[in-house]
Amino acid sequence: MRLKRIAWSAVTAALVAAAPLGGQAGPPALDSLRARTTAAAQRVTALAEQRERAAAWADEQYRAIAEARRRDPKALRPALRQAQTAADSLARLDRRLDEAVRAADAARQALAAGLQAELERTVAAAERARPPDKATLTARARALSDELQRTRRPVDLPPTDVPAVVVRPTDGPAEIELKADFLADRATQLRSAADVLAGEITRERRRAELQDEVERLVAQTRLFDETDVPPPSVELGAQGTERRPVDTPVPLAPDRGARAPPPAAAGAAPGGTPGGRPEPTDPVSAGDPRTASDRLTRLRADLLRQAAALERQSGEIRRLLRDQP
Amino acid sequence: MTRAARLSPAATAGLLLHAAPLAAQALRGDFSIGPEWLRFESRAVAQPTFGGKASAGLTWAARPGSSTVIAVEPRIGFRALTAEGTPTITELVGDLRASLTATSERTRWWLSAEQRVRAVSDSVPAPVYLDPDRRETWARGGIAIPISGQWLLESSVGAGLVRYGPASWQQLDRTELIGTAKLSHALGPGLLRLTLGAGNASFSGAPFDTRDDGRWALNAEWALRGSPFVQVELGAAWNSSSIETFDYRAMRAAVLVSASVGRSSIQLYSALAAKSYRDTGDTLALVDQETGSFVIAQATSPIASGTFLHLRAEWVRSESTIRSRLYQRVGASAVLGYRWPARRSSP
Repeated sequence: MRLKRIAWSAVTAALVAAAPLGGQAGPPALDSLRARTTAAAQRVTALAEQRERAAAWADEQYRAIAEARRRDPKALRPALRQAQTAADSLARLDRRLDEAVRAADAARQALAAGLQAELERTVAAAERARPPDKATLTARARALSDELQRTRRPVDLPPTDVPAVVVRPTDGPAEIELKADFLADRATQLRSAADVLAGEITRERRRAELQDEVERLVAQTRLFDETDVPPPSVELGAQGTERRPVDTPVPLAPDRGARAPPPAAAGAAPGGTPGGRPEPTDPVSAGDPRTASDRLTRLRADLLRQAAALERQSGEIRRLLRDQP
Repeated sequence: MTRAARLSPAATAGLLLHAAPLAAQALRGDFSIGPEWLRFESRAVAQPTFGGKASAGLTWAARPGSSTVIAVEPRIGFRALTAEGTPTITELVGDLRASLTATSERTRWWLSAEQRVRAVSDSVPAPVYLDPDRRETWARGGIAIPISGQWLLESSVGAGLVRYGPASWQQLDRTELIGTAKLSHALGPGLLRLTLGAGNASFSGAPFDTRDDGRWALNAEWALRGSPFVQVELGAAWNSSSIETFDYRAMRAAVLVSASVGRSSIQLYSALAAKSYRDTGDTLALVDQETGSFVIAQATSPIASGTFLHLRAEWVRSESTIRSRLYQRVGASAVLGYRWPARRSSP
């Protein structure tokens, strides 16, 4: 299942990178970033397929052990050796796959940064341009923005669209069964998307808890003037996005230690002015550390509901097939 | 049930502010209380103390428009310490902060005001050390603008009034002006931030001469906001005063870590600092700039929904408000904390 997800992500990333801006060519640096992203994604796909084949071969070797135990004890030792080789090979492939996934992620992030820069340049140029050029530049900015959004997707999910499948009177038994199978497959895919989200939700909750603890510790020590360092401004992204994984760091005073104020904070004193504070955060969203995980939880519940609906529909179609005269 | 009724457990302040027609609001709060043991040491004299500490805070915020947020954040704390042969020492602290933040497609700007107050009982016998009574009022504003795609420039200015309670400390009363410029850029999985700060402090209560300080600071920090949470920092600061006694150079390295351990978590908050005065003359001068090192280690365990137990150990070695007179403190505390989750409402 994990392999399918990885391969799906890689294919999506490759498609995103391969079809930028509706076929428009970008600046050379951007093209190179796209090429790098595509290559990294293709490597992930290739390794995922290789690992899938290796896993199938390893399964055969494990089955051979059981077979040897039952029928030919002399063959047990070679079977064990072979199974060990298969397991080692799988472990090696896992490591390579892990590295490739990380490299693909880094390439995707670099592409996103490049797209963001290009988008800003294009928007600025569009603002200055005369009407005929303005339309072209605006269209290009829109395409860049779409590509950026696809590139920056926060969680790699398997496809989550719900198909509309209807059994027609002209459908034969084979076609009806095919449609039932198709719906059941889509339900499985939706459930695997929900699994991906479940892992993401756990990670997000843990991350929020850790950050919450840091904020409270710093707030407590500052309140009693024990370190006088302000709470971290962590919730609002540099451009106003909520809860980005990297964000404004907790300002720690560089020039003083315990009971000392923080010059590093926005609005704080540079040389040791007491009471320095960071820039205001967005407490409406920051007020609830579970905001992001809540959103993911709702999305996951939706996916599971859709999966259940598809399974019901698939079951009804199969019943229809059984009840056919 | 009305919106106000839903939020009513939070605070009277929250209820009053709900009268405004706001698009979305959030309110959250926390409370903690627990015993604390501290041992102070200065000039080879040690004094153990035992007592308790409590604090409570609220964050109320509202979004009057799609891109604007206003927030009010009050926080109060109380500490009582008993030591053999001395009356109970008490410390009451409060902090009220209000801010307005607005974001647009490319920029974010903010304005904030803050009032901080601390009141300490009259008699704090050495070597026990607590900062004296003080009031601080601050106003700040800033803007953040992305530049050249991957860099973010944040710039801010602020002004503050600091007033001390005891007459003998009023020579540190001052007006401060500050300005900072920061550049941020992603570095690896985290964020790197470089800060340049400059400021001026005019001391209105200096008994002997006019005192005017110019201050500079350079700071580099890198933070990873994940699991684990890690932040490291290196900084340097300069203070040039019209009175040489107060000229100094300071360096500091700091680290902040929060990591999971099973269902619990641990936090480490530590700084090592060094400060040197350029003039070796008046070592008994009162100074507003304390430099110290500290290590705070904490283990946090959830014991029920929204309720946590914090076991904390700390070590502090810091300059007291008298120049070059250091004190050391070691301590341990067990704090029970309760947080109520954010309550949200929409019209």
